[in-house]
Amino acid sequence: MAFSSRHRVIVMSSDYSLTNEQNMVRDTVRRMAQEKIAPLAAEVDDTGVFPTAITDQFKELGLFGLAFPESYGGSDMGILSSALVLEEIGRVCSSSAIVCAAPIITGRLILEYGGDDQKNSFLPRIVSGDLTATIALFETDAGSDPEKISAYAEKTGKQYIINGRKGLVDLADKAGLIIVFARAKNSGVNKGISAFLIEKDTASWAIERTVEKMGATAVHACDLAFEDCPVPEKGRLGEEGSGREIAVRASGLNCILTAARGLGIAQAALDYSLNYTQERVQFGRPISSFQGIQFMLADMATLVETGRCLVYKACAEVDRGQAEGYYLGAMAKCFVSDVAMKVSTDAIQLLGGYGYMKDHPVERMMRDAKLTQLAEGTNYTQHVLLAEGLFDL
Amino acid sequence: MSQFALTDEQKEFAKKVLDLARKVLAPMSYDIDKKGLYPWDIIRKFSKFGLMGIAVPKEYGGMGRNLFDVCLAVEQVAGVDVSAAMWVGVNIGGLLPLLNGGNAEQKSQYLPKIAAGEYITGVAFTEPEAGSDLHSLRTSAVRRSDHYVINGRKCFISNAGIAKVYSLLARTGKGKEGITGFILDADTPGLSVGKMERKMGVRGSHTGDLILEDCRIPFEKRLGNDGEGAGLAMGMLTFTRPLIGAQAVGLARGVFEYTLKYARENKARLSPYFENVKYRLADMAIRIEGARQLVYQTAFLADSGHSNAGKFSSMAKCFATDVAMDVCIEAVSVFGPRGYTSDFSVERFMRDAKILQIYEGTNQIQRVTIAKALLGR
Repeated sequence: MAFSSRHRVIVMSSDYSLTNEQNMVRDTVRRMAQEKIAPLAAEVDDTGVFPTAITDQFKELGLFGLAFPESYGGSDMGILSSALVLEEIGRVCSSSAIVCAAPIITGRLILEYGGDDQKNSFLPRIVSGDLTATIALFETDAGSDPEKISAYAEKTGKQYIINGRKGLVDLADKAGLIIVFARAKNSGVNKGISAFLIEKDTASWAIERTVEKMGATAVHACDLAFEDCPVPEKGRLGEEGSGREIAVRASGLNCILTAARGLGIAQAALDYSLNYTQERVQFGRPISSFQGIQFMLADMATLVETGRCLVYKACAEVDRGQAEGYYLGAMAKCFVSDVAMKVSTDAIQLLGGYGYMKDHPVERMMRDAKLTQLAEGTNYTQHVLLAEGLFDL
Repeated sequence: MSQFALTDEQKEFAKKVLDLARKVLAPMSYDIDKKGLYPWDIIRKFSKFGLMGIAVPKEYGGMGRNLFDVCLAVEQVAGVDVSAAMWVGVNIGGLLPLLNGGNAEQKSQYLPKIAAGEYITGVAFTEPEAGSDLHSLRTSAVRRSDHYVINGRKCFISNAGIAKVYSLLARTGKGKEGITGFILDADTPGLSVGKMERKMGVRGSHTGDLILEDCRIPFEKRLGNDGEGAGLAMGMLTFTRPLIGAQAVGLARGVFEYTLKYARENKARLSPYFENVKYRLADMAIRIEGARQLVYQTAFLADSGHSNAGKFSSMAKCFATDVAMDVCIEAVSVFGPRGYTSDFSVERFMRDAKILQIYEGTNQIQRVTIAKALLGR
């Protein structure tokens, strides 16, 4: 039995579909991603070098500014539009999706928690793509748990002095701005965690090491050291002690955008599998004609569609200003990253030996998918937070 | 009699292999993976111990170990380095058609050299259009007076360019009965190594195409009679599938022990979700132990020529390799974002694990085989 598209239109409430504008964004970015990024993706992964040509595409289409108000040069289309963009980019190249997402997350934190000076200073440059921005929260011993952060900020007169180490900071080698989370100390009084905007021009961080990674190789994850790094008082984001709240929001945003990227990976792995299994002939017939293969494909497709529903729902709630959106976003991150892992692993399986080789993109997808499970607090961390939400702890 | 247990001799043997593997491989594994090394000095150490000739009968200078002991040995090596477990495993794969189908003369010519590690072997079965489907084999062997003329292309051949001798399947007639086995010397005129593959993992095991252009293989190098090739392939698979299972068990155990140690030493760091990690570790342990016992049982059945050995070898291969994959994916998560980096070896094991679900018959093909054995044809 087949549903006609007309039938589907009648059944679906308009609330459960994308707007014309969102469809247009998605289609435009899909075309760009397929034409401009996809041909470079294997080389980007191989060499670990990120081409500025890709960033230029992001700038040209205004992708950094979709989720920002027009007053800062953005197009005010909400986080859902950004998610659609990252999904499309994630389908062809994970590194590209992370490069696109990091400034959006940083910018949204400034939009929500920053003062007017900070917004006016940073947002137009983030939106235009001229300022690469990222976040330094993770510490090896603290994980992503802000309570355990050991980097500290001491206030002396009109400035803070920051000392400590941060691990695996994405894009730290390219960033002009990093939001650093540190424990604010003043005369021995612990005032909790605060967030600081550190600009490369005025203060610096030392890159101790760039780690070798299994995937997303063109996004360099750096271990950073901050030694007596001065930040003026006006460089603090939000109130002193509000760092935990900001970190939770950073995590919420990152979850949603990571889920969108993971969704793209899963969709791409499914698409590639569908094409391959219909072309590959064994035992005298396309392997897609075997029920064992069909079951796998059907399961993969079900997981991908379910994941998509979760991601879009979470984004829509965030755009409506509902706190529930971030909770759903954490669910989406756990669910979709697991889906991306499973679907990409199965995609290699469906390609057999060919899938294990670098001539096909599915092995890259599997390596990239694993990062979505680990990013922004592993799924273990997210599960704890989700459970706390359920019990209202 | 100790039922369902290793003998003291087996335990001691396994320990010796593990000690050797740790000693020679652990310092090299990072480079073996990064640079795709096939380190001859390690191969020589393996040969000296007997690993490269572990399945060669004693009368030809080998260790003469049965499948059970081979599985034990391969398990130990895989827990340290999966590429190295393939060096041993593939060498057995190439040996088996010769061992099962070779005549006395062929055996006395090749086996002592394989046993000594002087000849590395390879299996030249797979073709672009004939992976799991042997019927689609296209490489042709045309009989001339005292030799065969072989033409075709083989792909995904492990040890391509390294092996001195390959076990080859080619078509001498139509259908399943038209497949014949040959000994293919690496220096045969007309044989060349084609494209080498770039792989996600097991990068220390070299994989590439073999191109056969008017290769003349003398009549004396045919294995058995015309048409016995499919049987040789099945005989090999019954032996090598449990061996892949053993690789998977070793890999999973190695990763599990490493992860357990990490969890124990980093309790504080993992404390927000340590309960969860504990359950995951318990699940890993359950499934690894199950896989291990299934592999041992299967090896025993194959060694004793039991009629169920074929079905069990598919079950052991499929179950153990699925376990290994799942264990690795979970283990990387336990290590957290650092697990994604080369600072820990779990990411390498995760990339390595994926091939186990694929080679020697994908796990989908194993399920077909198992279902056939259960339901009849």
